[in-house]
Amino acid sequence: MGSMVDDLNYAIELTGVKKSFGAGSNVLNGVDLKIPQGKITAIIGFSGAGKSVTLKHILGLLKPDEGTVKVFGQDLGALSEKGLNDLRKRFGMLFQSAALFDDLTSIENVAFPIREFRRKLPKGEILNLAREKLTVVGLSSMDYEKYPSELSGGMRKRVGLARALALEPEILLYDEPTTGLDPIISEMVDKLIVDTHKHREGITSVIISHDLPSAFKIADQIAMLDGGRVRLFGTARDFFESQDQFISKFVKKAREQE
Amino acid sequence: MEEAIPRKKSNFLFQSISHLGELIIGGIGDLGEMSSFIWTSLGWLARPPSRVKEILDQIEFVGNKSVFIICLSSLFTGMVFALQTYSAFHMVNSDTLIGPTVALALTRELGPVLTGIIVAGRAGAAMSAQLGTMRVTEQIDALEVMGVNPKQYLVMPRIVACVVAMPLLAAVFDFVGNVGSYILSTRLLNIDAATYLAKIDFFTRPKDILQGLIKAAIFGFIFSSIGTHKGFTTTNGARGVGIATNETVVLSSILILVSDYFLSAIIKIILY
Repeated sequence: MGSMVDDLNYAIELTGVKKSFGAGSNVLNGVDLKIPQGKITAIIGFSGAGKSVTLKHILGLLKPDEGTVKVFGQDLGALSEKGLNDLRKRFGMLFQSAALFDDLTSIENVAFPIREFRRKLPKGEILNLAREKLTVVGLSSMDYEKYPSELSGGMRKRVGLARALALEPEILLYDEPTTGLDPIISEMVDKLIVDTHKHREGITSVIISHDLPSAFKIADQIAMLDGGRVRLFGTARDFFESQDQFISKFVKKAREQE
Repeated sequence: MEEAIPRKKSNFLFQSISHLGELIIGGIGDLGEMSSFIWTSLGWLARPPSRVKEILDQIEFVGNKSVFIICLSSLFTGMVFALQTYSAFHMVNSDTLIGPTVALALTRELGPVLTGIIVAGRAGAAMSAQLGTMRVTEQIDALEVMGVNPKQYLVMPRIVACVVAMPLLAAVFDFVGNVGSYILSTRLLNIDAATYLAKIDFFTRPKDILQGLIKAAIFGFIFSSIGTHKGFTTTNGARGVGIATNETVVLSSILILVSDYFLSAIIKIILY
């Protein structure tokens, strides 16, 4: 019973996760990570540290060679395809490129998941819900009928976030949300992430990033991946006070970027 | 030094055989992977949610939007075929056989094969490019993360649409091609219209048309399977999309021509 309660306190648990692609290339080398519910957790690391592979394991898009991945206490390895799909409905994800469907307008993109999973809702109501989500992320009604190719990078991220929020997810994943954006838009996206988190009680936000200053600024907890393992998992303060030379170098770089 | 030459030769032979073996094993592996891809995609046809709207959208794209290009190609194919047949048949005083010759060639072979190659170049390439772009821009990943099966949403409707639309397009090709041949024969080559039509009626049977339509459906299945598979498994960004599209057109055209021979042989045994 005790372990049950313990499971429920964590939205995501990775235990001893190992993954390699081909012989001798271990991308994940025993990742142990427990992501608490209701917090903003950032997973940071240099390129090739295994951030994206970790994210794909959390989503069940990749299966670990060894170890387990649990989401809300459910072992992803033990779930059927249907079970996995049902679980994924509790996720919302903002992709690095926003990954908007380019043959759909902004509002149609946001309406897409609602239309898919709440099939009995009348069309008008679906569009009202989509409009509501677009308003939450600060998009003006003039942009609702625009196609992704007509939107700026920052606007695409907003629409991507609105789409991620469409089904009121319990876990929000952000893959490199500020990569490729200028500092002003990056700050806007950071603020959007914090606001979105604040206004949704109990939501768990996970940010995969190599934007260190922004991770230190907005995350409650930070996990640093290095060589396919978690090098340090703690608050920004833990990072600043760490005696580990590698971490200190990392933090120094982050301060320089600020 | 004297021994080195035969060793070199045997090394070359060994490498060639080994390379050929790798190619064959790779080819079998690819075929197996593609078969599994198609099988699992079509398996989603019977599972909810229904994808009728997506299938109809694709039929509109593959069918309706190909009608003009099919009409234009078939009109001139019929006309040029009649013209060339006339040159030969006129020498043996058999001008009236132009009608059935063109009709049989179009319904049995040219209709389905040319429709297959034209639609593979238009819709098959478009499918590959669209799915390839969706893959490299993470749109397919986005579907998967949402819990929407991309094979059910993107692949299955395209394959079903091609199997449905291709016989219809081949029928259009047959009809317009014959109209082209009729106009040329009766207006320019001065063949009697009634005789022309009577000969077609005498020599052409419904099963000649049927075999063309069956072939067209199979060609639709072939190029849509290749196009969706190549697009779905695209890697390496824009370059990968280009390669996938190119491979779709080349492989589809070759497979349509090769399979046409075997289909003709099989259909001959079954229908005739």
